[in-house]
Amino acid sequence: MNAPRQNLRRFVALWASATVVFLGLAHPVYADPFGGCYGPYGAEGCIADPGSHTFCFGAGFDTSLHDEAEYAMYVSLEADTQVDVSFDATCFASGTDVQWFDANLSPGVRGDFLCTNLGSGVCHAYRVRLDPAEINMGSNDAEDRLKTACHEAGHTVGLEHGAAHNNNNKIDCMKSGEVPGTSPQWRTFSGHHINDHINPTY
Amino acid sequence: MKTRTLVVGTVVVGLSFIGCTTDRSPSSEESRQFVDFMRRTTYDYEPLDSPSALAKQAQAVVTGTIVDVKIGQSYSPVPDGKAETVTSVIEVKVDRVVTGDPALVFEGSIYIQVGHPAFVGTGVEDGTQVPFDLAAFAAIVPNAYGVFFVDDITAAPEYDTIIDEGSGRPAGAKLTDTYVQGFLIEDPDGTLVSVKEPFEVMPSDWQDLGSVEDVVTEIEPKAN
Repeated sequence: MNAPRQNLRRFVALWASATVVFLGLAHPVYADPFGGCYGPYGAEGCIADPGSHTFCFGAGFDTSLHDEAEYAMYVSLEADTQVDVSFDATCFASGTDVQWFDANLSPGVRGDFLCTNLGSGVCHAYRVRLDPAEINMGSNDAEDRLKTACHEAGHTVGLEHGAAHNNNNKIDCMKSGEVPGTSPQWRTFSGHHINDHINPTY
Repeated sequence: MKTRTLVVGTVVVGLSFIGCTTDRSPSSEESRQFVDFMRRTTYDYEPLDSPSALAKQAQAVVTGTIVDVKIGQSYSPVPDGKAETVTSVIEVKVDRVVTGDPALVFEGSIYIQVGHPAFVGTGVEDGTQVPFDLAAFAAIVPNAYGVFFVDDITAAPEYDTIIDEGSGRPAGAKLTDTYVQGFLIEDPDGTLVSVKEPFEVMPSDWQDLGSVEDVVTEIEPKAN
């Protein structure tokens, strides 16, 4: 091989490497976690148990929030994904998948989520709580209530908070906090969350 | 030469990815267990851009050392119903009120509530439920130094029906709770750990904080 061609190949290789490095720095790849309900330090992880994703209204659940909970379960989740949803009037504490409550949560918290019955990496029951007083601060209250209900329902099928720089977690209801506007995107799941995480799992 | 160049390029790319994702895991087993437990609950909240922004929202920001954990009051969502939430109360011996209302400190301490479901499953679908093990939780709370962004929740119970009101703190002491971004402790080696939410998912100003002192330094010039 002659020297000019060798130099050209070396230049191309260096340029290619430098380009990849630049892209890596400009758009770093962050983890898009899925299926862990014990946070990033838990090796067990948890996804909802197989079969219908049942839900119920826990004791005292504010009737003014029933519509939002049903929207999250039937519209955000069942209509847009492969998850089968059904209402479970018995509200069995250790077996109904999603149990909705309203509560006065920690300062600044609009909703919270916890697996209350974890077995071998599968969660049999989640407690989901909404804090309407916190949710209704700011503007677009109706959309905010749907967003937080959708957000917590998303946790129950394994969606997590992504890294701060991960745009996949900023384009749908898994975004934290106040909705930026009234667009339906803030009460639904993104194509990424549906096609890459939820549907392949359920 | 071409192969070597590509190998070097690949290594640099790999290092660039690693450099962009900071590992802020607890370094001690004690903290790891506590943080792991606390993050079982996840929150929808409004992330604030910096400690100084959160300090403006919180009623007080204090630094101090966790010295005790007691069983707190419980709550029911319905009158005369069984408890849905039981609580632990973490006592922090305060060495400094960084900003906010010093009246939240009672005889040198603040009292931070941590809620738990009153009953939990045993891993079996439709199986029996058992009471939450408050003693087991208390055993994993580290005697760590930290900075705490708190609000007074004495008159804002989780549910309206309070059981064993006043439990877990001295008479006259306020009950407080931390913001999601506002429960930061140091590991024995000095590593700063965010207890409720990983730094990695917070806005960028939170991600370079290395110690309690860093947090205080970020707040103080902007306080008031």
